[in-house]
Amino acid sequence: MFAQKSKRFVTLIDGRDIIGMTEETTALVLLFQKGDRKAFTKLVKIFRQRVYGLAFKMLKNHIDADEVAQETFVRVYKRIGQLKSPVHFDSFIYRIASNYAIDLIRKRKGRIVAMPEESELPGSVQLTLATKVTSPEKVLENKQLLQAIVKAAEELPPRQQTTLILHDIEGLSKEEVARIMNCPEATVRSNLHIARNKLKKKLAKLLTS
Amino acid sequence: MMDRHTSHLHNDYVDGLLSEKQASEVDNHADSCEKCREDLNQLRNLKDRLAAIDAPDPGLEYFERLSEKVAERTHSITNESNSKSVNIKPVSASQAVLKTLIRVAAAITLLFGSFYASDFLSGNNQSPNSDNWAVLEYNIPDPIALPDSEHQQPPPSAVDEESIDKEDSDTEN
Repeated sequence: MFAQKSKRFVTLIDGRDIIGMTEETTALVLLFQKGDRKAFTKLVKIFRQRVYGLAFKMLKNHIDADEVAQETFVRVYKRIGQLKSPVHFDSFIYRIASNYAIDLIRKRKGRIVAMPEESELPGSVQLTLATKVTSPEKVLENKQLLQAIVKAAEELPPRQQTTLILHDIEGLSKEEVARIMNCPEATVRSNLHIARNKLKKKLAKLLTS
Repeated sequence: MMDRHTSHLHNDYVDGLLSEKQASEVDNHADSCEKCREDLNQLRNLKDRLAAIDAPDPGLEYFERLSEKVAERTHSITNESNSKSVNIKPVSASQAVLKTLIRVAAAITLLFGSFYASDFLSGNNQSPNSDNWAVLEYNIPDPIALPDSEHQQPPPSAVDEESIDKEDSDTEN
């Protein structure tokens, strides 16, 4: 009966399946809320890559992203009772992850953070630009642009940075971002415009060429 | 109207949130205004670049390890909450001694408190440290009348000269 009522929440932007709550996922959330540990294990499997991806985009290193991913699922486990609407489990999990990542950004502010290409941690991984490149010059240009974007975004206040990541990188709607960040849509819009304008100003030359 | 810059609409334009009329206004203006055209191009380029940023894939092995770690941590949470709800928390020897000491101290306080209270209410408040009591009673007027008339007198500063004169004349009479 519930499955009939629940809708499929999938946002398609440029052909990408960004975030989605399928009927199956919603049913798993309901089972998990009733204490089913297997349902929780399945939910971890469904969301682990997205949570890790968001954390990596926010913190730009594997160690912190791993910490956020682990802590997010532990917090989800502890706080599942607070979730009133199972269809919004994705927002619930994203909110926990982004809040924890914001805390880490604030803690690490002032600490020197290695740029992606400088990271020497074993097994470290880097952000990538998923564009089709044809020449080595283009590869280098893209790499430079990525570094410049990452650096400029890092200088934004944590909430502006998170809004930009959730909306422009993760591809979530303003409504979803507002739900995740627990603020009005107007705030999301305003933060997004400010963040973009700051980046545009800093990267004017690179964006023009 | 067409000569006005449209930069305040550019963010909504690239997000596809403008009405058809507003969007065509932006398009028409950009055709003739280099500044706005440049601004729009930069914004489009930025948005495209941001959308293309992808987190790396650390591999299935990592994600399996992550699931295992989460399972371990949440399992210990379940065990903790179960032990809390089923078992009574054991009390250590030092905690037991501390609890007994607190109980004895409370009993002694109660005993002495009741002794002083009964003494005080019966009118005999001469405690071994009665000098200190006198100081307290002098500063804070006690609602219960005390037998000692000295304690009933107001402090010197509060006594007016007329009453002093009257008292003097009474004594003289």
